[in-house]
Amino acid sequence: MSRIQKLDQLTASRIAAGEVVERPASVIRELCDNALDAGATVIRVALEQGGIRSIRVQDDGRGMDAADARLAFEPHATSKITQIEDLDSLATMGFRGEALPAIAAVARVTLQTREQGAAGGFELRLTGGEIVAERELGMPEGTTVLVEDLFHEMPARFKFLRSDRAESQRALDAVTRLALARPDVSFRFDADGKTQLHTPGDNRLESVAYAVYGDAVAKRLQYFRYDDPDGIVQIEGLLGEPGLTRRSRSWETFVINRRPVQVPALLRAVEDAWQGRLMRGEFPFALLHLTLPPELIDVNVHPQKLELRFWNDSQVYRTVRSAVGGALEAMTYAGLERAAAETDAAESDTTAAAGTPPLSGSPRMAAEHGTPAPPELPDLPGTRSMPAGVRSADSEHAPLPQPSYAPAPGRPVQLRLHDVVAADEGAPADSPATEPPTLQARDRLLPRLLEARFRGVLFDTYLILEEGDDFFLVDQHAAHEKILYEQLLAAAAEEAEEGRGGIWIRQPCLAPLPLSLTAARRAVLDARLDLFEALGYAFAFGPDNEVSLSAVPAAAVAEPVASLLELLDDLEEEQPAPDTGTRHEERLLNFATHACKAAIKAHDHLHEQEVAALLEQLVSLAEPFQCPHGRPILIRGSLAELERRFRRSV
Amino acid sequence: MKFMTDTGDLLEAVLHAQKAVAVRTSMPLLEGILLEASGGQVRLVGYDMEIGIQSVIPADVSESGAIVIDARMLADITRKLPDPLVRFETVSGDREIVQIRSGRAFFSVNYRAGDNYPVLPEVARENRLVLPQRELQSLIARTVFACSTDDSRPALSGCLLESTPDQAEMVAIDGFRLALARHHRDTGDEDSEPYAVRSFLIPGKALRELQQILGDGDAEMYTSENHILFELGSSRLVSRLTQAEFLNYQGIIPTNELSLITVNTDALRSTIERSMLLLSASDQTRSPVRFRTHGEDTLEVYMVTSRGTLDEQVKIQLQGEDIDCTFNPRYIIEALRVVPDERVEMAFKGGVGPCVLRPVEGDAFAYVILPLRT
Ligand SMILES: Nc1ncnc2c1ncn2[C@@H]1O[C@H](COP(=O)(O)OP(=O)(O)OP(=O)(O)O)[C@@H](O)[C@H]1O
Ligand SMILES: [Mg+2]
Repeated sequence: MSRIQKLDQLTASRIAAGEVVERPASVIRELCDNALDAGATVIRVALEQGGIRSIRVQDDGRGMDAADARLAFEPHATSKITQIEDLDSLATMGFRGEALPAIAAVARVTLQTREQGAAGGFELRLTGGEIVAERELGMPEGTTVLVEDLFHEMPARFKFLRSDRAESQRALDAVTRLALARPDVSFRFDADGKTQLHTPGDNRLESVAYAVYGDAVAKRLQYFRYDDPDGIVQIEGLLGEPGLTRRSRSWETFVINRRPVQVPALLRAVEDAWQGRLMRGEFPFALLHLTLPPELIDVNVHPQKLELRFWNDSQVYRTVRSAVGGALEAMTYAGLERAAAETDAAESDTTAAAGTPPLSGSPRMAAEHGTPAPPELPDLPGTRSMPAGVRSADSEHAPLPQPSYAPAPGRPVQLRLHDVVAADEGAPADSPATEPPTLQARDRLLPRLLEARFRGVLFDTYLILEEGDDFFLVDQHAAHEKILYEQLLAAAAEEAEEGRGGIWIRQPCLAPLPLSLTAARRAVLDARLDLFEALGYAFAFGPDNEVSLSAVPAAAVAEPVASLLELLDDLEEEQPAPDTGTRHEERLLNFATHACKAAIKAHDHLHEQEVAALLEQLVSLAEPFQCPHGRPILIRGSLAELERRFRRSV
Repeated sequence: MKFMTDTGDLLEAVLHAQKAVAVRTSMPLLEGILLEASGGQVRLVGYDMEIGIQSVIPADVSESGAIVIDARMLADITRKLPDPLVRFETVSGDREIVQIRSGRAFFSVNYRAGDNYPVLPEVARENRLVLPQRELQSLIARTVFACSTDDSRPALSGCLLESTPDQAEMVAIDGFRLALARHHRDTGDEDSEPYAVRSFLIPGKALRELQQILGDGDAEMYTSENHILFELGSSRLVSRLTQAEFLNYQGIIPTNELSLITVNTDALRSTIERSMLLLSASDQTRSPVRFRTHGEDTLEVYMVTSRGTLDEQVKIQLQGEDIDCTFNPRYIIEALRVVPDERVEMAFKGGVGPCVLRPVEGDAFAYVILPLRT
């Protein structure tokens, strides 16, 4: 008897479907992709019971006629490419013609669509991938897909679904990623009747960030934009101010050609650019949009199109790192400039003097968040309780052909980083895109520090310097710490090169030092044992979960246990990233701790020559504005500001 | 309050009490020294709630009372007084002013009323142990440097004092090294009484202060459940006792060495001091010093840091296997600085086993360290 037989059509397509749709979030992702490809400017997603009961995705895109609607559910039916070469210049999200048939194979699907300009709409119902009903109906232009009883016929896959809440959260994450990728489209996400996300679609990154992260985070973000001189890569995005960090990478979002992606090289580039401004285990806020010629990227790597392979990882890495690095530097500089700028702007505002004008300003986004009310989609016939809404004027939300967002007016001038970054490595001096090359931010500020006259010390901690109409306050401890930190990094690089490895020498303990670890700390230790051993710790494990230290890094003998616990706590919440050389990064960050210990303490008295030496070393640093823990090293104030506070001028 | 006393006596008492005055505290009163005059004497007290030091000096008291004066200022003023005699007198008025007169100098300074100054813990005269102050001082000097300064490990940040009828021992272990100092009672001296058998774990911080106020005569020690009291004639120091189990250190001191070098203490100390000149702030804890023997009479001491290198040969006598190992130079130098003997031995157990440093003669000192590993 022959054992091999051809799978029937439905079984085969159900197996294939597993590749494309594995949970409600992936269904939503595919349907939203289709809506975006159809030119939608408003997309509304609603789900019930985590999407397991039902998912509805409604758009105002171009719609389909009856014939296309039927065809859309045939395998490999797509309007987006006709031959394989088209993939190289792909501008749409979809291209395989697999999504709709795959979804129809694992759920009951209702499609309602009205082509733009057509007299009426058309509805299709499918069960088990087969069309079971068709009818004409009146409806607004656009398309609505309703997916019910997902995986009902597939107990095995159904079992893999998590709780309603977890699935709903994943779905929200997926829509959020799309919304962050497409600020020109208004997204709304409702779960069981509650709106959880609503973006305005006004094509401004700030507005999306405001809708997604809320006011507290959004106002600490800074817009930047970078065009690479060769005209290949264009980067724009939002960066968090230095103190805005998380213990996980959930605030790092990357978008390439309006497609949300996960590319380890980008994570690495951004975090490396932040190096020295973050504490161990902290991750920054970065929302980056990259625009590249489509032929330079390959989207056909993963069935869910989440990953993306670059034609040249390292060039993208270098460009992103230097763009973000330049932006951060300018942000820090802008923070220093802020005080003067703010007070100058408030020249005639006498009430400002009565308040407390900040001496140091952190970069604040200048944009106001009075965003227009997000557009609404009209109700469909035969749908469940959707509140009625009025369709907003289409022209306002017309999608832009390419993501070439102009910076919104009102952004601070010095934050247009083009000049700052263009002066960076390898940019041709005669690049046509650049204005006459201006000095980098640090190069403008630092010589002034050297010129400045030393006027004394406040609280044995803050050095007072005067230069022209400005004064600077320098935190002597932070400054020294940063100098030591950079020296250590250099020494470590040198030692590694010579194979000396002196930094990682370990001092064995005379008798094991017992540790009493909380369960959480113990879990981190177990998970990252190799990291701790690489740093120079050695452990002895006894019965009953006992752990003791049998050796510590030679540099940590003063406080062997405290330094270990600190490290454990810092690692506790961090999620290991794929392939970002974590060990190396940890080691580097560990230096910051040692630098801190050796540094001049806040209350040590410094002599004038020592101050001069400190400043000279400080200005020669690669990044002189922030200590290894991300705190500012110096702040600036102005004579004008003082005069105003003393009411010498108004 | 009104009294007259000897300026020199006062200065000594102020300097003693000042050692226990709190540096950073939320109680301003503790930043001062309490002066309490009554019945022919003045009691001076400094107390940071951990350690208290009291000195008593004779005085001509015409009006008793208690005041607190800022410790730094009082020490500075007393040091500069021009005359061998000094008078203190509080003046009545709405501000709290005390006048300090000495020769032609006449200070009027602020004080705080002494009524609320905390009382030093009472320690009953029980669990007595008497040691000569000089010997106690020497025991502390040879061990306290090996205490941990990390307060989170109390057992490692204190010294264990143990006495038996004919000897007293002090031990400190910071986790990475052990220092043991021993003193034998002079049994030939008819006046010397056998020591009581005691065992106290005393915070290193208290011993560092105590070390500086010890002089001649006997030190009497008493302990209560939580405190230890040192009576030193006109001064006394009270400290908390460390409530922790001391490490069982007997097993840590190795025997049966594989190699033994004998070296002149000063020669080795100055070599290592020279090697440490190459350490910068950031090298402090991570540049090891390397010990390597060449033949039976030469020890090569080698240090490499980011600033440069030192290579020096020291004359030694070696018995047993050749030695090649690295140490934290600070650990070696600190021991060499407190050994009074002209020659010391270092006993090794290979390149990674424990090393013992001890005088060539006698058992008054032993110091154990572990070589570094890469
Ligand atoms: N919301 C929509 N509005 C208009 N046309 C749509 C919509 N959804 C699907 N279509 C049409 O149906 C076709 C099939 O969609 P499907 O998602 O199955 O494939 P695809 O998007 O071409 O490729 P992929 O499988 O990569 O998503 C699309 O090519 C498109 O022409
Ligand atoms: Mg699609």
